[in-house]
Amino acid sequence: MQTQVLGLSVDSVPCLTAWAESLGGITYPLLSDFYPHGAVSKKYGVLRKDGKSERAIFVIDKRGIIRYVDVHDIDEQPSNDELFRVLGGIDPEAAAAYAASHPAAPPAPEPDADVVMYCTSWCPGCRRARLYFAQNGIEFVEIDITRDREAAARVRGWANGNETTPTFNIQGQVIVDFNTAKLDAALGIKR
Amino acid sequence: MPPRVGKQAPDFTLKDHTSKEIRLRDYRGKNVVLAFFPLAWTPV
Repeated sequence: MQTQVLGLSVDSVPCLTAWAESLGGITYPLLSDFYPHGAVSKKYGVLRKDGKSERAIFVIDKRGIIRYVDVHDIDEQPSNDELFRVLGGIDPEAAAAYAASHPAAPPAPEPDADVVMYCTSWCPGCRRARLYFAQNGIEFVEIDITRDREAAARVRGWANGNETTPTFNIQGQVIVDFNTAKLDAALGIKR
Repeated sequence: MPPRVGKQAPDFTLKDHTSKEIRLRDYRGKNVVLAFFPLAWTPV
């Protein structure tokens, strides 16, 4: 294997050990950037004021030169597509192995439902939308775009290349981001 | 600011989840994917 994956966070070693066990035997080292706190994250410019690191990926080649940098907002899950492309360019075998260790769910076609919400498990707007649908007795289907790359691509197509969540498809009418007035109008809810 | 593409990656030595010391420089000759994530128990 020509490529090594190293995970890195500001957690302590015991915390990472417990996490690695919960993930069921992780295949690459999880490094603890705990003491001095966040020193390496800082060196790489990804330490946040709250003491956590951003989600970021650096690809470093065989000579120790940085070939790819991807820094994401903490609430956003980086898309693996670009990483695969860069990794595929320098080490196709590793790209395939990495893809195998990060399986995407089999792509589902757009479900046959009147109200579809493209979401993530953590986005605050998605939580508000679930509450909104519950309060108004609206049935809906949700698709987690971090687990369905085709769905994520669909959202990018609607949201100027961004993976904005929640994004709704209500009988063909697309609404990007949680907006009560637009949802009311699309669903025919009168206030 | 993160180091830019084309620059030397800053070296470091850190302990991994099994308390083994890992030095970035020791991976010279291999490609390395360095993935920072905010905290444990969040998606990898």
